[in-house]
Amino acid sequence: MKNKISMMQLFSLNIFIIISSFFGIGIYNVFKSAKTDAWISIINTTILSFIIFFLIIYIANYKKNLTIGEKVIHLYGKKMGTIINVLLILFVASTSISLIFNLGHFIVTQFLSETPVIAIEIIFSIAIIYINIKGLETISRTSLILFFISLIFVIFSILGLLPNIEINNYKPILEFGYKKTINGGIRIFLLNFVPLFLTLIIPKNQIKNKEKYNKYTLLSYLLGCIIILIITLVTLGNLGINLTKLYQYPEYIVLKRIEIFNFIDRIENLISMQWIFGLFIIISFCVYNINTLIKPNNKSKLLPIIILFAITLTTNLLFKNITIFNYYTYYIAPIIRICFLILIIIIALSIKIKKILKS
Amino acid sequence: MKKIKILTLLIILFTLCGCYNYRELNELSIVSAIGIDKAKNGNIKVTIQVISSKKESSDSSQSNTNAKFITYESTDKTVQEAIRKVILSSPKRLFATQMQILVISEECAKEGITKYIDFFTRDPEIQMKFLTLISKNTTANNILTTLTPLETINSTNIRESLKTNTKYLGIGYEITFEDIINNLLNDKIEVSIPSVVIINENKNSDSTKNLEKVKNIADSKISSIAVFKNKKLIGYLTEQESIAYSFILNNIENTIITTKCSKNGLVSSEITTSKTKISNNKNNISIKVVGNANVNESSCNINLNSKKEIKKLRSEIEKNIKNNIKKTLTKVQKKYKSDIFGLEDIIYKNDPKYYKSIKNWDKFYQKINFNISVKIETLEKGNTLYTPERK
Repeated sequence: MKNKISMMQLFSLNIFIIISSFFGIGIYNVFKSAKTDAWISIINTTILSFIIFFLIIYIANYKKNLTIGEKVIHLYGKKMGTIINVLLILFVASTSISLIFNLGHFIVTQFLSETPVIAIEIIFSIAIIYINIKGLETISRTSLILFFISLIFVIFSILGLLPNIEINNYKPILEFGYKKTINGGIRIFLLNFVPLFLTLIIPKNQIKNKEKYNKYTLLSYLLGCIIILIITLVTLGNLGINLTKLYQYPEYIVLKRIEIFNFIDRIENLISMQWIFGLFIIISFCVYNINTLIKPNNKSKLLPIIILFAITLTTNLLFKNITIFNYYTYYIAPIIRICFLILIIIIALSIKIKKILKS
Repeated sequence: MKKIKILTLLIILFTLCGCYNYRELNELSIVSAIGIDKAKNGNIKVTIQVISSKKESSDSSQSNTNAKFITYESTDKTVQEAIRKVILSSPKRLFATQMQILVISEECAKEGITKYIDFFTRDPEIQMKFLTLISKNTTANNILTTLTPLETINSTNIRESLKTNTKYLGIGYEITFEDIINNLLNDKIEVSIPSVVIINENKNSDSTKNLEKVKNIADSKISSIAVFKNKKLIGYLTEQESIAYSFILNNIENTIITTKCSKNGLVSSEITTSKTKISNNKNNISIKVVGNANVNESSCNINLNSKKEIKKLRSEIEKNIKNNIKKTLTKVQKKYKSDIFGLEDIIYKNDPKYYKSIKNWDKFYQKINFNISVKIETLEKGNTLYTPERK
């Protein structure tokens, strides 16, 4: 198979999927539901993420040369398979509309207050369309490069913020019992980990060193969990619960407090590029997903343009302001993700039944 | 074909990156401070201090007396409207990212500060790192229009004074706007803000004539801590109480403690380090202060080489700090009935089960017992081993 991607590239894609949905969306949800115990919620999520891990491993090992769309057609036949694929497309589209809004809104509110959001979306769309036309290899290669840059930024921001952590900001622990932390954990699981199914669009045979697939996937989940746990701890430790809940992007606001050796400061705009990189990669990957689900091995350059145009248009029509967006991410998005999770479980069960019947 | 594609992309990029937020520095008025007062008709009066961007005169003697800032005043129903109306008199767009201080008048603070500060939390251009002060016995406008002799821009003068004060005296403490918002959002802590006064206020305080004098110069001075209850200003601490307050909040970096060493003799000691820990056991709050000091001045015939004398002096300093803290706690607890120390928050965070059993915090607050312990671990003697009088 041509255009194989490396295990490390898949690793970086997994990390970006977990982290980018956390920025502005996941963090808002987890602090709203679990408050000072948000970090315990993340630990709960780590445990829950094993469900996703086993499901992905199981589905990926079935017909290793097929994408998820082709596997569905193979399992359910053309008619039923197409219906399920449409549902998968809708799920991916629902993920990408929230991400594209988040990207535009973040840039407009924090950097370019007078710039129309559509101008920002168009600029990013050009780059997204370009790497989609180039194909999966380019997306994953870009992802790997940006992953290393982002990792440096993450380490730098953590080191800059660690000295300002106030232990009292984590207290009281478990004030409302485990219930709220479980709620927060489930939300993060649904918002940040369920989208990991996007990687099933890559047939296992298209990955170099596929024998290391399980190990790298598990490691990427754990690293993703550790990163969002550290982000949560550092944000809460620096800002406290009241300020964390006050801001839409507390992870960005907290970066303003970075001061290293008394002369490296006001570097939040540079460091926050990590979020922009993540959102850019995942939106690109979503477009690639929809593109492949509609037309596997598509060579047409028009389809990614149409998909991105439709996503951007829907975003602007659907989310008129941040209140609607927050309502969507807190109340509607988790329901969509639950439906999708059920769909994936059904696919996994169908594979199991098919294997049993075959044997 | 490829060239056409690249050309098309370049054209699109040039049209899109067209810098909607493009601003030239010479088109901006850099705001250094904002003052908020209450206007006579109940509206809000905003004073905006802008750094002057006028070209300096080539005559150096003349440029020294020119004010380096100008102030704009505007009155309207809301802070946003008042600030926006400054455009009517300012030829340039106001740019508040580099704002250094926000001064809220005593009158506004007495009414409650929340309605005056909401604007500053919402505007993404404003960094919430500026310092906030209350103008005591005067208006915010007077504070921001007084020309100060040592710093050409008076907001810089106030900011630096507060920083130096925090570092060497402890009467005020650096509290950023973000810290105030954090306290306002926390219903278990009352707000406290340092205040600023004008000394030698006269009719020329806003003119360069003020800078030509060598004495009785009108100047802004950092004053004591303003105490709030339910987000409204209710009073001030004295300077000594403000120092004690800084001790309790662990904000002391350096301060001076003066104790009696004989009938008419005094010893001034500098606290060089200090650390305070507050803990609770039900309604007993224990405040432990541990620090080091340095004898800086003595007018007594005391032998600083004697362990006994040092011990006595140390114990006097400890007693002084302890009494000061006790007095301050009692005043705030009994007179102001305000929890500016955040004791409710401390109990809530350290003992949430016990906190839940408290039905009425205000009543409970009045019954809190304080156990204060102060320990000065080392007392240095400075450069000399004994006082000149002793020799």
